[in-house]
Amino acid sequence: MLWRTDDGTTTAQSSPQETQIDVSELEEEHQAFATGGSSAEANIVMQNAINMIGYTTEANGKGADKDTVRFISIIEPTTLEPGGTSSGDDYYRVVATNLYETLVREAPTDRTVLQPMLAEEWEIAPDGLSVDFTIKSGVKFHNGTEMTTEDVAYSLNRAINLATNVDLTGMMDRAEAVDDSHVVLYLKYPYKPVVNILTNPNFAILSKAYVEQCEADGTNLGRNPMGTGAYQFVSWTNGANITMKAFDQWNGGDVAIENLIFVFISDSTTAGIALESGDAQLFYGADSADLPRMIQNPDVNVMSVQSSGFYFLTLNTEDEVLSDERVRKAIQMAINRQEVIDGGQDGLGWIAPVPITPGIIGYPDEFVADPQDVEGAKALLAEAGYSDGLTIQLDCPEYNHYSRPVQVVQEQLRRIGINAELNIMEKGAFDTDLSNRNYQIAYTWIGASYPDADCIVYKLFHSDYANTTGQTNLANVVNDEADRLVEEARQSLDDDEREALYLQLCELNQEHAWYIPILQSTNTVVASAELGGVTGNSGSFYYVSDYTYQPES
Amino acid sequence: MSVGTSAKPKYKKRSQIAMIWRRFIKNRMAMIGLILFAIMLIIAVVSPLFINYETDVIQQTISERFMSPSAEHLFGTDQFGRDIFSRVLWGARISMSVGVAVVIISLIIGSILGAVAGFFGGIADNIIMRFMDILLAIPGTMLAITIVAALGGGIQNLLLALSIEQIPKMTRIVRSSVLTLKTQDYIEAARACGTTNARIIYRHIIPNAIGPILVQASLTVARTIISVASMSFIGLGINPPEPEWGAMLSEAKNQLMNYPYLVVAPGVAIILTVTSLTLVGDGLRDALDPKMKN
Repeated sequence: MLWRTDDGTTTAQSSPQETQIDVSELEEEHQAFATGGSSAEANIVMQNAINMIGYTTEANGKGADKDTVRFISIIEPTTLEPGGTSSGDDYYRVVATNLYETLVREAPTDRTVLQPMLAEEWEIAPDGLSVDFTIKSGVKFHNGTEMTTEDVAYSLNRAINLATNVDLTGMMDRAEAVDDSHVVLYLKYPYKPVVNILTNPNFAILSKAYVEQCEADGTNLGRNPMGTGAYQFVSWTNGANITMKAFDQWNGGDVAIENLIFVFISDSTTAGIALESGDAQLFYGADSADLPRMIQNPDVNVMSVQSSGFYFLTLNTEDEVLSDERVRKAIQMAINRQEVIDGGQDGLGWIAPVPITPGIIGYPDEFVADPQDVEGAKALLAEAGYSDGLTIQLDCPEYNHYSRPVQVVQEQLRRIGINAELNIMEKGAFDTDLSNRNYQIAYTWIGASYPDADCIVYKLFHSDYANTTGQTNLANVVNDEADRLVEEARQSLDDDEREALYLQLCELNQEHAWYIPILQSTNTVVASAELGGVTGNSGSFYYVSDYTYQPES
Repeated sequence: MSVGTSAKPKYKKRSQIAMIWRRFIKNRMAMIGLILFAIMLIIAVVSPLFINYETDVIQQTISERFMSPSAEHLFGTDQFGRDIFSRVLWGARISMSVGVAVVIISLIIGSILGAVAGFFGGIADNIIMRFMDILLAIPGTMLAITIVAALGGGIQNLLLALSIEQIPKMTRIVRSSVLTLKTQDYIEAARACGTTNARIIYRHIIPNAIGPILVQASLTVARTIISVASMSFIGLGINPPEPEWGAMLSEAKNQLMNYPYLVVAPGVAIILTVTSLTLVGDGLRDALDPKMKN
């Protein structure tokens, strides 16, 4: 529980930089570098080579350009097409947030508060079946054309029909442009948090003409993104960086940071050192092992909040061994969540007892998790006929924040006599296996795309999403009671009633041990102390347009 | 006293081995390597006598994470509170056994292929060697990564991948030895006596080609240990919780800024083993080289 304050946010602000850097000296170095090469061409080649290996030089770092921000992310997004990836993909979100805009945005400090973005205001009809948005006028796309309500309706309808958004759009029917300034979103049934869903970057507003032109001439939208955001796309070097520059006709006015470069460095320690040495100003996705050191460093600010999701074990109920509820219960009883947090996350994280992110609407506070019970687990296994032990496959993606905690889980399973063979897989292969239900136990993560329990439990528990390739009911839960609870909770407009329903659902989940939630991690951004205006937020919305360099003192 | 005089030769064959041995022990570096390697080998063999795999090597004690080196934990404990000393010792078993297994597999397959190609020549030679050329054209690490990525991690696939990497090298060495040997008079003599091809290869060619093969084998063990460590380091090798040295290094790397001593033990273990094997290999090559006779 390091650095957690009462309001649930955690920050470790440090004092302003104490050591002053001699800027003139660095600029000389910059000059020397720029003129050092025999030709301009050689310099470009060299710069490319430097970018390729993920390093930047002093010439581009601290003290050199006060109008450039280098933003390190551990993982490169696969695409920049809205809806081209799952709605909970934080690594897409970190980049896309700066390129695209949505109708509404989450307040930086409180996820449940909505702020206008491309919509000036909105009104939910009394019957709850439609939302009327008043659209901002004079908004320009990056190619200079003006955004119309036609574009807004087109983008919303596109998002509604995309398969990747199926977990978000179940209640949405269609969007219609009624006049030059109003777009109405029609719903199939009343759904309280519908406007919150629209903060998801998968609902970014696109230019209809541009998307249709891309489709016509085969241009990949995901590699040539174009929106209305504060920054416009310049280039993307695979495995190295994505470059953007400030959009001069942005509807939000002028921004202080002219150039924004996302740099992808997969090794957290290397990335941390790059930030600390001033080669970058922002760093998303730091490994828990690197945080204590960076907190000590007065040149950087570590901003950690509770993340929007949680890590959990999903047990494939279609599997021969795991279809036996006693085996699943035994696995559930073997887990000690605090040990996983301490051993696998360096103590940075919170226990997640239920399959709902702590702190979001619908989280059942009264839930009591069964304690760890090694002897009971062994007895259950013996009862199920596995008194001599059992070998099982345990899958997880290759990243440290999965593979480290899962080793503690592996050890806890060993203690009850389950030999869990660890399969640390490439993320794409892991996702494919999960999607095809080609696994026994998997350690994975799910995020709340908007702060409401429904967006998580509906896709995890509803039988509509079970046994179908690509669908999200990973454990293949087919249970009438679970269906009834998630459906009732989705359509109820009373928060207390919904919380009670979710409490029942969580108890049902514990009784049957389909999903075993383990821990909620931190969502951390590390910023150079020179950069002002950065706040941690669990939705991973980092709007660089809000940031400025602190004046030199 | 020397080995040569104490084992006064009765057969020519024995005296040859004795000569080789005598040349070998004169080489100080080679002897250092051999002693080091012998120590490592003994550790690998006897470690189960005083280390319990279940309780010392893989059992986690979360409350004892990152303990500094002490009498109880000679090299400290790792991120899961496991004793690094026990893990490094046990790691010798894994590295050695994988190294030796890869050598045996590639030696058997490579010798057969190389002997066939060299002895029969012609179309057999062409088919085998062109196939080996294809394998050699792909960088070894890349080939191994591809195989493991396609088939998944784990010790069997790793063995397969590393063996495929080593087979072409072994085949080429054996083939070139066979090519120089098969024109020798004693082979002609054997053939004139009506000896079968299989027997000529087995009885006359392989024993005479053993020198370069031995050198190659000892160097291959060293190279394989490095390969296993590097594959595990990038997460494609042996799966946790096995205490493989490369995997231990990879884990320690994440904590390098906080607990730098974690990398020392597995790193030194890799260096010592690989160096000792390389020294032995070099020594063997010198000892087996007839031109080095003195």
